[in-house]
Amino acid sequence: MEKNIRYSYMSHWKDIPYREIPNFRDFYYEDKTNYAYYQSWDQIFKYHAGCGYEGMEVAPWDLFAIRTLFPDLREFRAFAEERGVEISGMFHGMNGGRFKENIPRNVEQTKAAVENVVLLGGKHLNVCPGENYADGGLDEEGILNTIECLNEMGRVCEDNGVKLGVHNEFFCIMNKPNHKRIIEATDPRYVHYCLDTAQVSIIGEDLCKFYDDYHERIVTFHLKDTADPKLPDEIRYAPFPEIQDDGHRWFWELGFGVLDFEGLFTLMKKHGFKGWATVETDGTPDLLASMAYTGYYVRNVLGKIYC
Amino acid sequence: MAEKNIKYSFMNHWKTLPYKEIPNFRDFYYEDKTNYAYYQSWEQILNYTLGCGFEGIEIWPMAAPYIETFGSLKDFKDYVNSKGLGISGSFCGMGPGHIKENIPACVESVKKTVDLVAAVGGRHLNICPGVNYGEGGGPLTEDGIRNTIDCLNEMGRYAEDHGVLMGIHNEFFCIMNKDNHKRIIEATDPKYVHYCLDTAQVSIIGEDLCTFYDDYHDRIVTFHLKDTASPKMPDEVRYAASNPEIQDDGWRWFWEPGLGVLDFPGLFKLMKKHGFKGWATVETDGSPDLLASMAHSSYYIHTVLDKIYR
Amino acid sequence: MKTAFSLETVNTRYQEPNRNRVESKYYWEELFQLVGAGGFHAVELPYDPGFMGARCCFPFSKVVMDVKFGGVEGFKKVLADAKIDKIAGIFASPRAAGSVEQYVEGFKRSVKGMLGLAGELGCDYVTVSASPEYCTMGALLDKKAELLDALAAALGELADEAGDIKLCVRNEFWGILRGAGMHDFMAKVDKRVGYCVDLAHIKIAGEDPAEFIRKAGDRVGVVILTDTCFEDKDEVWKGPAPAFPRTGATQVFKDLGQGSVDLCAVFAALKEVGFDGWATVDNRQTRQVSRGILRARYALNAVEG
Repeated sequence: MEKNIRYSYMSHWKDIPYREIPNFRDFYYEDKTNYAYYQSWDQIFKYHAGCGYEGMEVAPWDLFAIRTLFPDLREFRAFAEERGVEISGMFHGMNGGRFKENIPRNVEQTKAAVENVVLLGGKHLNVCPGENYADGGLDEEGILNTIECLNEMGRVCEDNGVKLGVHNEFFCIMNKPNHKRIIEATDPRYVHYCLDTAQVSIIGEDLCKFYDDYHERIVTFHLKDTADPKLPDEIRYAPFPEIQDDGHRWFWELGFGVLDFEGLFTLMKKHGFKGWATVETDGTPDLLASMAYTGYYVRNVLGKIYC
Repeated sequence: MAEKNIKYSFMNHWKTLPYKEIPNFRDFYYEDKTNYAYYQSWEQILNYTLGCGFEGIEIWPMAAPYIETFGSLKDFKDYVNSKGLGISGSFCGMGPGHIKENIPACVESVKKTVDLVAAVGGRHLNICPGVNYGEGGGPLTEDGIRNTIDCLNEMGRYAEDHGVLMGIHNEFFCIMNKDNHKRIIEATDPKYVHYCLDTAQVSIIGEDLCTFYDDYHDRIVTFHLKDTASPKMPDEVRYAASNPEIQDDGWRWFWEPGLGVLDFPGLFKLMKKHGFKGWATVETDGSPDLLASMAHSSYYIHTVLDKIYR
Repeated sequence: MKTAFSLETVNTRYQEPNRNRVESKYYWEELFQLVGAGGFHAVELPYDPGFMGARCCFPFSKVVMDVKFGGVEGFKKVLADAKIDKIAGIFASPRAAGSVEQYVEGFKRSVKGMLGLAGELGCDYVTVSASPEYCTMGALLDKKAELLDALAAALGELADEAGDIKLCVRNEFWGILRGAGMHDFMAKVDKRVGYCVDLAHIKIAGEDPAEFIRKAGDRVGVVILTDTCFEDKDEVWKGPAPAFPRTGATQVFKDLGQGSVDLCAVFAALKEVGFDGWATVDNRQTRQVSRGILRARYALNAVEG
């Protein structure tokens, strides 16, 4: 049976210092801990394949370290594919696009990002639409500029066979009072949506209703859970709320929080979603445990509803 | 998709798991905010096993922890099965059955493990044939060899009667060793006594893995698949009195398949030639990180070995 | 001689299970207690003013101290509560960029920023790498002499601004001032600028740390107590990511006492040259921070008797 959903895993591995470790046993003996098991891309990609993931989404802040090991990103792509993993896309940040004068710079940065996505063989550029809310809310002009900036960026992506997906974050400047307006006002030919299930729920949306309403724009997902839906404004709009001082986690592995993933997957079936869905587990202390667990959850639990 | 011949199981080296499930997982995590909380329940471990594409687990005979957690073996079996996993079997030790007067007690003990395997729906009892060489007064005398054969035959008959395949599982430091293990395999009754090929143990003893499988394939009903970087260890290491399995300096005899030096592609070609069908258990004792080993092994069998035989 | 503990010990960049803990404030609050309990009552901070951009709570910049600790005084109070009464120093390693002029300007800007923060923190020293990683230098390599002259001059200017803060130069094994190459450079630099003697870096570059200290004499400004077993037989120092040798994975920097640096000889040499500044333990690349604290204390106890 052909599958509709291809699962990718978001790279939160931080810098990985080695391509491969041919002297693995000696390296292990230096410390005799599991440290040696997480130090090469060879291992990381094998874990992806071992946990049933077909893809990985890269983070732009990883590219510097990746290029140190793979100066040509096509090498990185080939290295991953040799181990059964494709690159589904890349995350990206819009930077100050609420100001008109910053739009050309954002377009240039998008061109550079898309070039990397194409080299990696990816299909998605998932864009965080702006700075933290605490850096200043969006006024009317800011909203119009954001829309224009996203349209321009999206056109660059579409021209290169990449889909730009707006990726809301609960603490970002595009937030509850205006994010639907911006989605609706952007050009659907160029600007799509990456539904981060936790972020949108923390902002205050009902996950299933949001997907049902905007499914035509939603081309991919960041699947993660939360135990803190509908967080009050004063927390979301505080400076630097993403990383909490006491280690409180906004994000949990699918099924560990309170979101209705079975409802979401029922709707994905109804709307016939096809494409990459990235499982994201930022906040976990153990990416491999989260990867193995979510590999189980998407196949053995959600897969019964839609796969 | 063609039907698969091999069902993969993962050997349980997780030690005692204190919880069945952790419904307050988030609170438990916050107590320490480390990954400790991710390795404390059967539910988690079974989910990881499924997440890594394994179809079963092999357990240990020390059943008390399972019973304590689940209430009964049947509850344990039902829980594992409800997750979509099977229990391929259990490991156990024969005890000092090379001494005639010990045979009845050894057989009684193994019968209990056979009952355990049957109760959890397992197919295999993989049995370590005897005490350590260094501690048990190896080498086996002629009497000791005959007693071992008798003991294994009797145990195997009970297993067979209860729907369980008893497989000899050699260990490189055990009293049944290089100078007599083939003789014992050949002299036991093939109706009752089968063989579980532990790829690393047999190689450390000094056998060539592929030749051994080719020679004894009609007795081999299951595997413990693990790698080693120390094949053909000298007698003085294997026969040491100081429990050579766990080395004082942390030296590892065993590695994940693909991380040692054994010829697994060669073995799988022979498994194809002989049409092996059944459970194969991946075992990664010695690993500091069973989940990393599980994910790596899953990649290796599903991406590399599957291409040869699956 | 006074001992401090460097927070560079904490891995903020590379993958390992539980790495995410370092992103939150609670981790650092407890770490300071462990450092204090390990008998270290002073710390060194890596300096990275950009880290808040990663949304994390690494207390290596004024921004994080302001946002997360209520400013410098708040940060110092958290340290004091953990029995750490001093921030001995801060350090940074500028990256190569552009021309000689651009690099030196960036270097000066960075050191000025460090001196400003060091003044607020009450530090005794600021150390800075004069040379970027060899493999990142590109065209700068062709102008090595010009670059070093310009840096020497810049350090002299910066020494004027440093006042009571000891400005020191670090010589990583992957830089053009590696090993004994440092002495020629330092001969050209204002005498107020000291050596930052990083034991492991010196050893990997093929020099004997104790001998190096004797040559540096009264210009030893700070000693970084690091350890290593690594022998750079394949010249990995010239390649990318030299702290992670491509020729074979290894932990280049060991916890103090776990490598082959002769600490007794180092301490004897420091006594000979009359050194009375900071000796800072840096277990960079440690596999376990708390074990590393105790290993370092054990090693220091052994050498100090």
